[in-house]
Amino acid sequence: MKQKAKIWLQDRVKIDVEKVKDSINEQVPDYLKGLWFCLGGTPLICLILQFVTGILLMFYYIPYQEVAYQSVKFISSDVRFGWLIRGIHHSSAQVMIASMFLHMVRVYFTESYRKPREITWMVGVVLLGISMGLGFTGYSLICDQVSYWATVVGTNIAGATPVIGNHIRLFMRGGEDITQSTLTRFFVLHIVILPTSLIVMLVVHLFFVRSHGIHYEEKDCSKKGEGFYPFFPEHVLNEIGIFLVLIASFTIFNYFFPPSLGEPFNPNVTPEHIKPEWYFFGVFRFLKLVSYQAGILGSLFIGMCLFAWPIIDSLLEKLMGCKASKSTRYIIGMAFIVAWATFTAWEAVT
Amino acid sequence: MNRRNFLEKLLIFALGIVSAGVFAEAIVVIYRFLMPFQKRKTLKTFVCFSNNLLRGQAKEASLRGNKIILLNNEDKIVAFSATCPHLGCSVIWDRKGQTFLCPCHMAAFDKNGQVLTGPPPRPMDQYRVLIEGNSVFVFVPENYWAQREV
Ligand code: HEM
Ligand code: FES
Repeated sequence: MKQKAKIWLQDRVKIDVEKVKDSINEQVPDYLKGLWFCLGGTPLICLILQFVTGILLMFYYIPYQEVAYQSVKFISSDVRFGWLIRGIHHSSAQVMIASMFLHMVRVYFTESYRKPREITWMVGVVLLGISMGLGFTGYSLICDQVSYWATVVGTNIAGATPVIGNHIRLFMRGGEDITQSTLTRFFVLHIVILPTSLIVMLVVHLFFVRSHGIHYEEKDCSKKGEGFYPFFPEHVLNEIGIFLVLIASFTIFNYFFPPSLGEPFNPNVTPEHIKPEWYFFGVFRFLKLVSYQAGILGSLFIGMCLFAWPIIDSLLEKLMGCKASKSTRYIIGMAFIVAWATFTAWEAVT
Repeated sequence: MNRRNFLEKLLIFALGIVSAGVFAEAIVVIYRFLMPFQKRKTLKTFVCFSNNLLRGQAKEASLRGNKIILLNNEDKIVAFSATCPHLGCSVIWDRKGQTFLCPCHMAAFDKNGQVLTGPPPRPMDQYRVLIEGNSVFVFVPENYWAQREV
């Protein structure tokens, strides 16, 4: 009976199940059991949560400036489990970005971005950029005071880019000011364009990850054991474990600290403390320290360096030789992390 | 089966149970989130002054998204839902015939809301009315979105 059904299906759906099984069931080196190496899976889990909760939020959210705030308030206080769905969407966005940062740190210090995996890294930086864009546009949607003024400041910062800045600002705002036109644009970006780009880039990212295999550290493999284990079920089970821990934490956290909502936006009154989401703190502080133009150019430059790091890295190696470039790489990485963390903490406490 | 193997199986089993639980929970949460619920809280709502409504005269109004017809029936003011109990069309008051008529399937109701002819399965729905001095109030259910008409 089962055999018959299988043949019936196979005759119609022309996919070789065994081949698919084989390609999914790649052997994974043992050290992937380490938590550092599961960090690539965590943003993926969060992304799935973002999709589920984001689609649910869309059932109630109204992208109309006069009622957007009301609709978010309605979600938070009237809809059953609204606090949970909105809360998970918020927490999971934070964890998604945080785990992306950590994933990058692990890739950097294991030198996994080097030949032949340069493109995987570059696509990864694009993924980070898209996610930060999602965070920025999503934050604007709720139309409370902080979110409104973050939009004002954010679009002005983008507008200060030399030469093309004014075009970018007009394009983002859909006019000179923050209006309904801006909300519509941010909504489309947040709901359609950025999520779709994220998925496309993610598929590319995972394709490259798979085609090169997980980077295998020669010098360390003796320590970590040379064994391999199958992707399925072991690795999948690990990820399910992480998923369960995440969803439990999100639920407990949001039960005690439900997502907040400030006063409705008021274009005439700027509140005293306007802050972006924490992952923009570093850049925000940096912009306060130096002159406006220098800040923008500096941030752009750092972004470009991040993107092109695999190329810069190989140039360094050619110039300095293998050994010196290794320690330089280490120092640059550490310096970058320390600087970023300092700026972020500094912004957080002021 | 050795000990290690057994523990591994047990772990996978436990993971399976917990995952199934979370999955079931998620279905319940999503169902409840999406299911619109009616808050049955009714609110006292002003309609008009009673001396503006003469005997045998009716007045239509939309209160918090509820379409009502206020009727002065032999000096007693009553509030009907204008929504036909058949399939939801809006009924109108025919002053001459002293009947409510529904244009959709030709139903007629008397001034007490009882079905005279046509397919409606029950009499017209009514709301509680309160007269305070000269003011007529009707108790209608709160309706979140209708209050925020744009
Ligand atoms: C397909 C995917 C997504 C959909 C359909 C979606 C949809 C939505 C909707 C409708 C809102 C407004 C309601 C609210 O504020 O609670 C929102 C808010 C938000 N979204 Fe998303 N979103 C998606 C993905 C993401 C991703 C990937 C991120 C970040 C990495 C993100 C970050 C945010 C943030 C920070 C908010 C503000 C939340 C708050 O303050 O409560 N979203 N999203
Ligand atoms: S809807 Fe009124 S008679 Fe059918």
